[in-house]
Parts: sequence; C-alpha cells; structure tokens
Amino acid sequence: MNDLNITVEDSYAQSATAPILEARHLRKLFPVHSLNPLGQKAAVHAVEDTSLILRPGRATALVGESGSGKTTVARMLAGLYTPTSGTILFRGEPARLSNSASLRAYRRHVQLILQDPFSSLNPVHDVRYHLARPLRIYGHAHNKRQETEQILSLLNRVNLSPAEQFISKFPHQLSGGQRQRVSIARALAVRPEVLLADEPVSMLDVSIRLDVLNLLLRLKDEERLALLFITHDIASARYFAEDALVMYAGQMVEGGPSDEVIQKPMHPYTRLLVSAAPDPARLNPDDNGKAATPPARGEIPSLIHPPTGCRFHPRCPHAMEICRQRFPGRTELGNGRWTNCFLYGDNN
Amino acid sequence: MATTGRPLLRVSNLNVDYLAASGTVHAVTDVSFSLRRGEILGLAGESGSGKSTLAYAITRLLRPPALITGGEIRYYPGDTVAGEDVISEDAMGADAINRVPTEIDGGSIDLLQLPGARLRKMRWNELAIVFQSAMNALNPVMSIGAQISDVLRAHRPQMGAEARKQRAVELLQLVGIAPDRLRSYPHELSGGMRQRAIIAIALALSPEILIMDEPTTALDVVVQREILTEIMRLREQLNFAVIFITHDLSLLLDLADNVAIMYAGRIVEQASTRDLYLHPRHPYSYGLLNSFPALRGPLRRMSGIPGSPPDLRSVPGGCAFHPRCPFAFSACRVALPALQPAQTEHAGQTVACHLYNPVYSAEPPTQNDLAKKYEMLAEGSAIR
Repeated sequence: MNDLNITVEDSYAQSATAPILEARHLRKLFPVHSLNPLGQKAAVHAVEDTSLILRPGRATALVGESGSGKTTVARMLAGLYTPTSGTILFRGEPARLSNSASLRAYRRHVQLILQDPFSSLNPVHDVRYHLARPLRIYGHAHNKRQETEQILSLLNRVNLSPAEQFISKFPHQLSGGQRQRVSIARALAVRPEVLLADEPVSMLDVSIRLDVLNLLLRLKDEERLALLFITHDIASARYFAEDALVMYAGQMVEGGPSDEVIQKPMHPYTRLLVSAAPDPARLNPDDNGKAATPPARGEIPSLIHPPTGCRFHPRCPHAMEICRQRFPGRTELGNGRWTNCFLYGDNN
Repeated sequence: MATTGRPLLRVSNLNVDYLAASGTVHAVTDVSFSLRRGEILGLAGESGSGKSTLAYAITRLLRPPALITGGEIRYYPGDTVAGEDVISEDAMGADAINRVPTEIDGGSIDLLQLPGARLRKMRWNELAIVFQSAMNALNPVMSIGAQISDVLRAHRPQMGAEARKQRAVELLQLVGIAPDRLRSYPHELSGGMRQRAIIAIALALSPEILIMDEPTTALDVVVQREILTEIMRLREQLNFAVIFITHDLSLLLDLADNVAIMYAGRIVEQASTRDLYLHPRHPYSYGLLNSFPALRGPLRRMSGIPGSPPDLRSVPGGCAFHPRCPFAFSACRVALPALQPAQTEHAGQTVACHLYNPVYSAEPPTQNDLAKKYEMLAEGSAIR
C-alpha cells in the first residue's frame, strides 16, 4: 500500500502488484426530492469515505448486506454514478469521467458485470449482437469476419460451446448460467483490465454458481484481471477473493486478506456477519446438536438520517460514548489487516 | 428433539402435473415422505425442482392448470393437543371420511379427499403456511393486529374482540415484536419484522404443521439467522412440525432434523441432516453440498455441478440427473432408479441412484470416489 507514488509506466510494466484502480475517500449522497420546496434538503448517505485498491491478477471482495452501499461503490467505479466527493485513480492518475469521450476511454479498461442476467441482456437481440457491439465500439473488430472470429473465441473462453450454435441464440433460449456467461463475454469483449462483478451469481441456481465463479477465477488468473467481487455471501468471498472489505451502512468497517478477515473477524459487525452465516461445519460429529449462535438483532438503519459516528453503534454490544460522536479512524493491525473501530485504537 | 416415532403427516406417491398448452409438466412425481411431530424436515432443490409445488399440494392451494393426479396425503390428527382442537374430533366422527383408518389407531384424514368446508377448518388450525415473500403476503391496507385478528375471527368465532387482541399481543411477543406494533401497517415494518409478523399469523391457531416456503430468501444473513433461531425456539416451545423449503442447503444443515433433496420433481435422497452432511450418497446431493464454499477449514478448488437443471417439459429419460452426472452409465439413461437404502445396514438414508443398486453396480461408490470424480471435473475443461 506504500507504492502509490511509483510512476505510472514503471508500476504498470514491472510490478504486477501495483494498483491499477484505486478509489480514495469516495462519498456518495443521493438527494431525496420532497414536494415541499421549503422543506429541509434530505439525502441518502449511501457511501461515506470509501477507499479501496484493485491490483492485476487479484480479486477483492466487497462484502455487505443489502443497503450497505456496495453496489453504489461498484457503480461509481464503473463511472455510472458521479461520486459526491473523492477521487478514482486509474493507474495512478485521476480518472476523467466528465464527458462521454473520456468515459468511453475509461470503460475500455474498466467493465461492469451486472447482477441480473435476465434483465441485463436485450431480449430482442441475439448473442452475436450483444458481443459485436463492444467489439465494434472499441475498435477491436473492423469487419464481419474479424467480428465472428472474435465472438467465437469469446464464447469459447466463457465455456459456451459449441460456440457456433450459441452465437445465434436469443437470451430467452439460454439458461441463467448461460446468460451470465454471455454478460461476462460482453465485458471481456472490451478487453478490460478491471472487472467489477456486482453479485454475479446471486441470481443463479445453486448448482451452477460455482461454475460461473470458477470461470471468473480462471479469467482472473489467465488474463491478470483485477476483479472486484461484490457479494453478500461471506463464504464465497473467502473462496473467491484474496482480499475482503466489509461494509456496513455505507461505511467501510474492516479489510484485509479474506481468509483472515473471516477466520478472525475483529470488527463487531464482521463478527456478527460471520456468526450469522450458515456453517455446516458446526454439524461436526463431535458436538451434538446445533451450536448456539449469539443473538443478532436489528437491521441496517435508514441512511437518510443515519446514526452519528460509527453507524453500527446502535447494534454494537461494545458501543462506547465516543462511537456516537465520530467515526473511528483506520487502525492497521499488520499483515494488511485494518479496521475502523475504537476497540482497536484510533489513528485520527 | 421432541420427535416421536408416530407420523403426523404421510405423503405417498404424490403426483402433480401442470397442464400447459406446450405439454404436460410433471412438477412433482411419485413423492413420498413422512413428517413426525416436532420434526423439522428440509426440502432442498434448485428452482424448478418442484419443492414449492409440493408445499402447495399439501395445503391444497394449487389451482388449475396444476392438478394433483395421484397419491395420498394422510394427516394423523393429534390427541395431545388440548381444548381447542376442533377439527380432529369433527373429522373423526364424520362420515365424509369414507376411508378406513390406516394401521395407526385414532384414524387419519386424507387431505386430498377432504371436502371444501372441512378443508377450510383444517387449514391454519392444523396446517399453516409461511410464504416466500413477506412483502406480498401481508395485506398492505390492514394493520398487523387486524390481520392476526382476522385469522382468529374466521377460525375462532367464539372469541371476543378483547380476547382476540390479547392473543394478537401474545403472538407478536412470541415472535419478538413489541406489542405496540399492533397498529402498524406492513410498510412501516422492516423486512425481518414483516416475516416475523407472518410467522406470528401462521402460529395464531397453534397449528401442528408449519410449511415454510423459502421464508428467508429475501432477507439478509443477519436477519435470516434471527428468524431461524426464532423458528427453532418456537418449535421447542410449541412442538409443531416444520416443512422448510429452500434452495440453500447449507441453511438446512443448520436447521433441519431430516432433509429430502429434490431434483426434477422427484426426491433423490432422503436422510438425517447429519448423515447427509457426513456422507451424501446421490451424486447430485454431493454436488449440491459442495456447491457452497465453506466458511472454515482449508480452502480448496470446488467444482459445482456441470450443466443446468432440466426443462420439466422434457425431463431426460431414466434418471433425470444423468446428463449432468459424472457417474452416469448406460442403465441411467433407460431405467428409473427407485428410492432405496444406500446401505443395507443403514436404512435411514435412502437414495434414488443406480450406483447403490447391486443389480447395476457391484460396489457402491465411497465418499472418496464421489470427491475424485468431481475433482476431475474441476480440472477438466468440459465445464459448461
């Protein structure tokens, strides 16, 4: 995390672990329109002070419940939302996302895979159309022959074979898993370096989820993609990603190597999340019956008037007076682990 | 748990078809199982495996084009329930039940033969259902209290308004909602609270059987855990039986006593939760169980199950799983496997797979064999 100042060319050419996409202190407010012109201006505080780093060949999982702001982060990184404040750095330089030309240039490198494969493909167009558009727009194919060639190779890369048959199919002729593969192929057609996957498997049948995850893992390794994997399932974050970040109500609460974050959660919210996740291993033959889980109460608060300070404090068993007053600074715990919690110190 | 040997509900050879223009869909085929008092039975399967249809068939909520084409659903009314158990005495004395009681003393009721009026009494009194989406199952223009009272008014006409309110407060407290929420409307409650309210309504008449159709799918993990803990606590307290339907097998392992795995409308494996977790026998169960990354333990490459669930309009012949099965051999394409004990000395775990049939397979596969075959899939490129 200290190598942020290496010059762009060097870092890209030599060091594989240099960050490719970085978000610094991103914040997003969504104004709430009220019919009363004299009423107080309200806003949904969707994301507060979020920083993250994506590196080539590495997957970072962003874990959180619904309403935690994880999708908003992905959409800001994809240039779909403009951050209220904060910067996005691409290869160390601030990304310009102001006009359509610069956005297009940015999206040549950063692509988003959406959650719902049933609504993210156009039902009146076939697979060829979906994959040909990015190829033409980003200038990778100049004629019909190149186009077909590349589409076939894309379909093979996402394990849709025989590709010759899939090329002329329409979305309704495909299963959920196959559609999500087409979505992935569509993102890959741009030849991006960063792939943002927003809950890519949560809409799929259980038995095919792993297949799609494994496909993404293979692509990450083979093509050295930087992957942001957004999920609410903490177990798949551990399986899929090297690093994990935990979000609660728009605030980042903990991060580090995913295995460690899940095995030894530090922040009270991460502990709650891990203890609430279904864990068949509790059924081991030694202990009889189901393990007692700590009582977990409450839900994510309204983000129009979020709790002050650390937003977890109303639910936190360890809440102190200071938790109500301000948000704790980041505490480094060594080995890449960090947490924003007064229980472990405060670097502000 | 408080499960006794006596069954409460016995489903035998149930068949449900959907009569569609493009062909008949056999949504549930030849399903048999029994549910004991106080048991939590998990029904797991992917979308389209027929698990929700099965739940609706048991409650007789199916409407055309769905049609129950065969089978029997026998309910064995309890004698242990005190006082308010109106329906069972009613049913036992009635001549409308023309079937002779089965081997169990005290008589039983075939839910499929029950006439409308009696069925209406039976529902909610004995058999309640919690639907998948809490958002849609509650009436948006009625307060929670009114919706609970509604159930009581319909089924306990002798109850006064004050007594109904008292019971509603009791029920809300039972599921962990503050009684001052009685006057709240569904939109004023969070998703978790709405689901609790629905469970409260389902428990209003102390039913013997609670059918839960993916009750936590739309909820976040933390809230899901709360609800599950609540269900287990209430089960201890009130001793009702639960049929819990979900696609999330890892959830069932935490919750259920016994699990039945469905694939393409049939039960392919049935076992106690522990047996299933320690040694799933059917290749599909094994694959399903290994489709969930573990929270703990060593990280290893997992493979999932190749292919996708079949279209129920054209279910593959023989064993419906054979096109996706890494073990499929010639018999799987032609002969339909029947549910039978996986091992002769271990009758509790039944599996519908030719691998465990001595006629086709000399030696049933061990857990290692299953693991190896799936690992080969993970390595190979034939993943589709």
